Amino acid sequence: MPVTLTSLDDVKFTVDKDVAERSILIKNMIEDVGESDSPIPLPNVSSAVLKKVIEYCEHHRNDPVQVQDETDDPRKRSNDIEEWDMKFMAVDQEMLFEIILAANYLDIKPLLDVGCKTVANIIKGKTPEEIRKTFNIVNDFTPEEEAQIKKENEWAEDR
Amino acid sequence: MTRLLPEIIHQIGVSIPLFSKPSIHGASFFVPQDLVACTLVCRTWYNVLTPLLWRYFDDREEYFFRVPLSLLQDRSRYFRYLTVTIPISCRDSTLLRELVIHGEAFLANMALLHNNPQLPSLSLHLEDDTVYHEIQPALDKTSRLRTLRLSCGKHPNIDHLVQFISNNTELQKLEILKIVGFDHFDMSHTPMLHLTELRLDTRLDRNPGLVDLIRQCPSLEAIWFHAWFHCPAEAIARNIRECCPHLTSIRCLDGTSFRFKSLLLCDSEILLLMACTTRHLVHFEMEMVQFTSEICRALLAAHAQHLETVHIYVHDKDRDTLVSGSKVLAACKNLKSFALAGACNAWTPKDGLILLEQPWKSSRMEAFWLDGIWYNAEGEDDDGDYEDFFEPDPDDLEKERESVVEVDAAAAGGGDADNAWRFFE
Repeated sequence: MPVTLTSLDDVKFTVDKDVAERSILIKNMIEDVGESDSPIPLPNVSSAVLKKVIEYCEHHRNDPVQVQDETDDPRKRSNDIEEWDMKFMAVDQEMLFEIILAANYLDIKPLLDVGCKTVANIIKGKTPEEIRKTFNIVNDFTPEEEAQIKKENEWAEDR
Repeated sequence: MTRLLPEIIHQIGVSIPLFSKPSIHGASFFVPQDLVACTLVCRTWYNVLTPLLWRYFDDREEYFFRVPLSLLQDRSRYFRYLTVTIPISCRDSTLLRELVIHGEAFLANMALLHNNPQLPSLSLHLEDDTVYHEIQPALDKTSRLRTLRLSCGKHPNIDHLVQFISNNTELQKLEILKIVGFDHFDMSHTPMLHLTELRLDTRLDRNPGLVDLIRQCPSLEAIWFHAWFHCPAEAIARNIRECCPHLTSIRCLDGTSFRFKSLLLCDSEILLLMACTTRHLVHFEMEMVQFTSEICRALLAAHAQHLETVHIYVHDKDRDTLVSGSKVLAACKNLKSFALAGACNAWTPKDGLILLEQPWKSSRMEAFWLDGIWYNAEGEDDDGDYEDFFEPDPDDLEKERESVVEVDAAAAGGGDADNAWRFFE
């Protein structure tokens, strides 16, 4: 059965229910409301981003449901990204963060994971200044605070 | 940049590796630099990511030798995966998910168990039974363990130990190592209903109670033990057959040590182990003198359609082992991991080709390991039969160079022998 989703800019997307239900938010909404022809409003997601999210969900529609990972054990985490996902995430930075926000809002954990891994891979090997420049982040530390934190983290410097 | 919610910054932080990618031998190194750089970006990133930076702490890690004690104690509230081997105070750690602790350090940190009643994973290493007696009250505080790794020296208080294990009613994985004097015990203790994995990394002939322990595990799915030197295979097989209807995995430990063949299990004992399960075996790993046609036939007749792992380590140099290996590869459609290792210089390259004589049935193979083939370029290739096999391909040379760099890095970091086997896990 198809489901209609309405984006922030009022564009309608009709998708299969199993595709829409990759989003836990939408799945819960469908379960709560019951079978209905009414479009599901997604006021936090623009049509451009929703189109990308649907593309992801369609590609991964048959993936097994990800069991909630109870561990964030840093020794067991891998930052490998599947080839298709890597191509899918090859977008400009604005779109990358929009996809991450949408994945968080729509509760699509695998998409959120792959988005965050992409950002983590961008960060790899960069200095704090390079990270700020890459993501246009303002350094709001006072010089004293920054010096203090640098001193605090001296233990982690390569020798 | 789009303003990110702290929860998303946290998620990005979780995705920033604290460890290098494992080498082919499984060695991986602590690399906190990227996460440290992130904490220096701005206040929000500092506040969100500092706890993530400190979620892992191992006092054997060289980086942490440089951490001032005052900073360490302040940050100990963020520890989640904690390893302590020396007596340093970690009293503020109250949300641990894993605790690896050694005797002296435990005495200095008994409050850790009081402060972490939710602890799901404990690895406890004690040198002798005197320490065990001192820590018994602290152990009694745990009841939510799901994984327990226990090394507690000679003659610990068995009744207490069994009671402690039984009290943790959610326990799923139990590993016991380096213990002597685990005698028969009162079997009226509560059965370990959730225990699915039992790893007995010690001599079972000196610990008869560990063999009894199998009878207390009605949900057991996987068992590891040393299949050599007075291994009570018959009792293990009987206990599994009578009490463990869900067992699908029998694996030996330390199978590549290639001990004297007089120490290994005899064929009849191996046949008993293969026949003791009421379900089909999915994982079978065993060391033996030879992978005889009789063992192979019994293995395939009962389990061929279900086997995903077959790891065989043999002592003798004989072609029959390779013929049996070939039959396994030709018969097991679900095989994912195959290992065949012989004691050094077991086979010639020509012998190795036996494994290719029949088409392999599995399309799911993920790991293949063959060891024990020896090529003497001067003495054994008069006809030039092997020359083509050993003519280096330029592409392979490049790959080899890359892997050598990786292996060197692993060696520099002190990768241990255990890591080599993670490849197969």
